[in-house]
Amino acid sequence: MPAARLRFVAGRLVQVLPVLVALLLIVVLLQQLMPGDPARVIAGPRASAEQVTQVRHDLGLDQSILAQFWKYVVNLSGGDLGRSNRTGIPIATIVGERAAVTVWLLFGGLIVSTLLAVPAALVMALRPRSPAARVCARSLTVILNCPPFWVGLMLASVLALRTGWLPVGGFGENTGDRLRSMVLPSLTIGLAAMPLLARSGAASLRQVLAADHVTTARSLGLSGWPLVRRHLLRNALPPAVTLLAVQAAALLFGAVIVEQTFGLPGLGAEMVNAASQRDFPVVQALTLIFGAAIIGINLLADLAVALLDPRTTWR
Amino acid sequence: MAMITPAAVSAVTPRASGWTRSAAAGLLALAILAAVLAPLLAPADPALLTLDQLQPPSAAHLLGTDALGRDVLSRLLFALRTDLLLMVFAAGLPMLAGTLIGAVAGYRGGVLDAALRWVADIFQALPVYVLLIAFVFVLGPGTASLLVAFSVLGWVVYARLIRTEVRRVRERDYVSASYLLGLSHTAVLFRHVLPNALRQSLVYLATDMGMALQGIAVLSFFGLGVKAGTPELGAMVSEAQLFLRSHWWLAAFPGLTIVILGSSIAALGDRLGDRLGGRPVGRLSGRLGGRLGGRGEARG
Repeated sequence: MPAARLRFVAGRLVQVLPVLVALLLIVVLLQQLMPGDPARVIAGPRASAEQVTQVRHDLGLDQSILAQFWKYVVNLSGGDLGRSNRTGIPIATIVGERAAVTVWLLFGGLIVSTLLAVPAALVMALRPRSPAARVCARSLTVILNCPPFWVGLMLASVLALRTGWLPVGGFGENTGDRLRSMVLPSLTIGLAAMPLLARSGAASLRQVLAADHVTTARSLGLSGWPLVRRHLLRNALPPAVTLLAVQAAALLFGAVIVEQTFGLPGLGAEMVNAASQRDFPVVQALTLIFGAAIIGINLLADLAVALLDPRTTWR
Repeated sequence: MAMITPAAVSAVTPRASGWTRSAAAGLLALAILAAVLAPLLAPADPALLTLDQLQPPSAAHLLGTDALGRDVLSRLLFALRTDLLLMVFAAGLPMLAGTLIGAVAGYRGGVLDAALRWVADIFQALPVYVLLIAFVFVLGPGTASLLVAFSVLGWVVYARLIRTEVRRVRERDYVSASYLLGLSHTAVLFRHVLPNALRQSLVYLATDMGMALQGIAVLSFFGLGVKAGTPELGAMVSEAQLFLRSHWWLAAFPGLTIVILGSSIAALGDRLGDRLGGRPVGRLSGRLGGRLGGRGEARG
């Protein structure tokens, strides 16, 4: 029923629209919340009243909020995110230069968290009463409560400073150095995101385990790895896609923290630096980009799950 | 205000039990006691600058001194104070606001309720973490803007939980009986409906507090949280960053304190959830529950 599917996809897209508009509105309205006159901040403390007025006019700050909102949207549709207050560089250029680091970092974090979470989830789902499962559950609580910036520093202290195996921070010049400088940050993000994935993974595996076809397979004498491989993992795939999306927000925030901690030149570090130097347009643009990314990932996951799962009914 | 709230999924996960809970309760009690008695316990003024800079732990300074010659143990005790207090407010204020909004909307129903649901739906799809940084940045560093940001972003979950519960409880016989006895709407809402609807929020509050603790620490680590110089655990880690090679303990102890505090609260929150027998609540459980076929509140 392709028509029904199309309608479903269109419906989801329409649902996302108000969220995107709300995000845009918040991002534009943020400026109103800022204490002090933004034009004065940009013009500098020694600017004359006329210069401040000029800056205000140039930036369109003397127009109504609605007009400012509209202008922002129009600029955005042309790919113009504004310019940095500090350097005057177009933000689109900054994003272009730095996005790759963040994407690679997220990728590394995803690999690490999956490698750590899948075994833990399997243990907790298949042997819920075993001592191993208890240890897993308790460790997850502790890991969840470890601040990523602190974990990063501690890992750096042990694996980089003491042994010199890995660089402490920064981003190397060649590919080899760059890969090496990604190891600790990826490990940190992966650890931070892993408890979430393991817990929800265990929960969804348990649901699959309770399904009739698994009971049947078990009653036919199937157990151990063949059971897991043939009947569990495959059916846990749609929920797993959802989990990845749920993780996206956590991973992204982890990236912000970790980039700053390890001095990686990514989008997250840029946002924190811009925030501490009161560079409003950059914070504004990155809030929008991160927000839109998370909303987009969740939308894609919803669509993917609906398309993957044969039980979906198209209404 | 919370970030991710995964504890909720664990209805079927093995939960902390027995000695873990006792240990958690003990550690938390100890932390609260230490925070309350910080002025008496601290061997030195946490802000006192001395020339004994970066001393290793010794009898005079049990945890050594920092780069400005301040006694680290004293700073840790006062930081415990800052963080616990901020944590309570950063989780408590959103709960208060959300509970009031949710209760009124759920009780009155109609347009108000529909509006709340619409706003909540949009709010819950927004990226909380990123907005937290943006809000705190816009409002400027300081405890006040921290609390405002946490409240603005955190009230929605509570409003939603309370709304659903209030609508459920409202139909009960004892509530109808209260009307027959001549009680006003306000009296019925506050005396009978709300107390019975609060349980879920309390369970969620425990998880929320752990996440608030981390949020406060992270923002302070970035220099966006408490004012510079305030003893705070995240800020202490940040100050210690430069001396990681020679003085690892400066960064290790404040971070460890966050881990212990957060884990204890999480373990006790699980216990509360078990005792109240509530179904799992929270942002994540809802989102997964919804998609994986369970029930609950959605949260992004």
